[in-house]
Amino acid sequence: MSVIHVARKPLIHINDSTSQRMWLVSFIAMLVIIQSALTDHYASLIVALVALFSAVFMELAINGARGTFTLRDGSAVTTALILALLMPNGVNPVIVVLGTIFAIGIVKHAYGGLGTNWLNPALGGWLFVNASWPKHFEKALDGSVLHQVYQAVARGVIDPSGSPLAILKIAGHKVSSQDSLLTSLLNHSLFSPINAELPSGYFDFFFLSGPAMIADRGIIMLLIGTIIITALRINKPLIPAVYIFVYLLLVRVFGAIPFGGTLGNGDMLFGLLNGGTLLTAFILATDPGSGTKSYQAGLITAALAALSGFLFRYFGGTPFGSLYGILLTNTLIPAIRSLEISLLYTNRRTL
Amino acid sequence: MKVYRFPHGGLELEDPTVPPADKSTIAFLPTLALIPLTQHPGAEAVPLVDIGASVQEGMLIGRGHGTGSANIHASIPGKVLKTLSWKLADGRTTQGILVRLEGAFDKLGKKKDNYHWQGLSSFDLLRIFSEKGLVEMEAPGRPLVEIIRDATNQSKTVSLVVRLIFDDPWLVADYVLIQDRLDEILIGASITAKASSANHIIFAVSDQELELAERITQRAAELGIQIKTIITGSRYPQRNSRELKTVLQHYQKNESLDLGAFCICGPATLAAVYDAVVQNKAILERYVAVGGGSIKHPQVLRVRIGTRIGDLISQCGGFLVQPKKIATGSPLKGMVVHDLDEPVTKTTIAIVALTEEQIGGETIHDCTNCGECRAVCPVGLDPEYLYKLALLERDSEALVHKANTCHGCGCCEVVCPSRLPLSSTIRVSIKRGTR
Repeated sequence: MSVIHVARKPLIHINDSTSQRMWLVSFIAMLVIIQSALTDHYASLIVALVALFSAVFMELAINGARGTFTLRDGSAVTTALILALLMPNGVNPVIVVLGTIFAIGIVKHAYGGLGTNWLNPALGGWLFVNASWPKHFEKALDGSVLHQVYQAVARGVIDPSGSPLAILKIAGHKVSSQDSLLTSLLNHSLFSPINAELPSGYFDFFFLSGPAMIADRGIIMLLIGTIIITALRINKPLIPAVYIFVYLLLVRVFGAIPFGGTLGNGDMLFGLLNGGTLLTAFILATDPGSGTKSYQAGLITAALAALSGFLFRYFGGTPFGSLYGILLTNTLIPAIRSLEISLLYTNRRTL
Repeated sequence: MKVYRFPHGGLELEDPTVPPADKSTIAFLPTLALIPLTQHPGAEAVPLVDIGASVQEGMLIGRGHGTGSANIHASIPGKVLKTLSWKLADGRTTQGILVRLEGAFDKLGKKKDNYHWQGLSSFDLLRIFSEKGLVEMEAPGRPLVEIIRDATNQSKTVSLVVRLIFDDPWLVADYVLIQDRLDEILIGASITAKASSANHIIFAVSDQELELAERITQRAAELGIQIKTIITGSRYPQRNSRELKTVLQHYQKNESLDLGAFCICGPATLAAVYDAVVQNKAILERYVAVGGGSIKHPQVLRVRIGTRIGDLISQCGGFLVQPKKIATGSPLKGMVVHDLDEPVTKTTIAIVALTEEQIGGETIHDCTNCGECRAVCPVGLDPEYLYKLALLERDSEALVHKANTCHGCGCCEVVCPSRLPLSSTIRVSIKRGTR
């Protein structure tokens, strides 16, 4: 690659810089980690710090070998913290180190660094450790809400209304007293006048205290983060909107079937608040590095990721199906980009 | 009212640091004027005066020769002290004639000439344009005669298009000029139309200036000048030739007109035409917007050609904060000034002293494929891909992907969060590829 010296003509820049965006995403990830750490004796924080130090070490080592310095762009830190969000809070730190080294050393830098990888580095790191040490993952997630549901369904427990919350109750999961109080308050004031009733158990998803993926344990901060990201136009807002719309539509229509229910009775809140759905919609599906070139193709890809994520989770039996959905669409990205160059840019109809 | 817009990309630009658009102030006369012999894209004008010679206001001091070159005149009366040589921002070296203010003015403060131009032929008018060194009063400063010749060679039908499109806030000097000299601009348009045998005079006005469009139509009717007014969008780069021609073609189709070839001029050029033909005056001064985050009191100044940039900044109260960069022209298309002794030329539309915050950082990061460059490209190119091809020196491949349709508006570079010099590098690649 050559170096071209040019006299820059536009002298101003009107958008936030790449590093500002990276640090903002890192800040939001940190908020989620802190919420999670408050209820697990700082285990989530340890996972995040281990990922962070491993990523910085790996980035510096590669920078040293290449004679560059890319730590300032913030991408290594962002990758580390997103990987931490994907990890169970009780995972062995060695697994985190290995995942981070793979994410930074192989997925990010094997193709040339930031922006050249077709797979999201954090997701690549997660896939690597998940596929290599599945038992460690299983152990770390043992007793989590999602595992309880999926294990109960595997044992043949079903609910005629197709409600995963009902299955949780049958499996012996106890709803917290705070959840019961808030649910009855809402039912009393808001839902009873319209002859509706909110089942108990949803509020616990906002304050998960048991084992789970860190992103699911910090859902309040994640929701706040999505608002910040969207308000500051860090991502393309229609992409998460399309993802969530398609995903929830599928959950509503078909989501009750795996739990013994019928068409049109799926539990959308359950689908949205765990399994990494929000993280997938707002962070992973909108990652520009592993995204399409055009907004239009990005929307189609988001819909495809939502469809495949739904299928993996509800009919493939994996609680983190949304992550596999993104992995699937990431593999299509090189082909989509080359099609886009040909159809949308080079052969574009001009006036 | 139909608003004509180019279909894809572009930017809405705002800048609170531009000078107020309500008045112009006459700049102090320079005691020393450095008049460059290159104020146009062609060869340097040949100097016609020796060191020690006395020059009069408006006297020819440099003769243009060859394509793209134009005559140069003394903007002040005085004595030639010396010739200086320096490097322009575009890499060319130029000589300049340093004149010390002395003696009496021939034009300033005197009764204005009022020549009847109606009896002059197109040939006579073009000769005057050439003699008075008339150029398009913005970079690169192409001689007006060549712009007209290009249009008349393309088609028998010619339309003179006056672009009053304020898609860039730094065109404020043009805006103030129109407020101050609308009649002269309208007559200048009429003269240029005659010189180019234009069948139509079209004023293209941006949609944020509807009042101005009405005023122009009304005043033209009062002066007996037949014009058409077309309202365009105000998204940058609507004023660029390509985007302007796109909307003119739409207008032509909608109105079932044959506009033929377009001869596109700005208001400052038409005011210069009026001065040259009616008042027998070369380009001695121009309106310049002086502002930016670092300037204490941004103003639109009427400045003699050859005035030091530093003097204008002093007249605007100096610096509020230390500027990170100073540029002539708009921050989008201007060139960096390395020395405050550099002079104002015929094409200096603005002097901008930018703060670090306005520049928005210049540390280059790796491209993240965010796609913002693609979203704003008015041509519909993939600047990221073309940039990467340029770095790999795959210039012929870049041309296959239509790199040569990039007209360098800079939208991609302005929005790039990784601060990559996209359009600048693509331009280099085009040059290499077409060599």
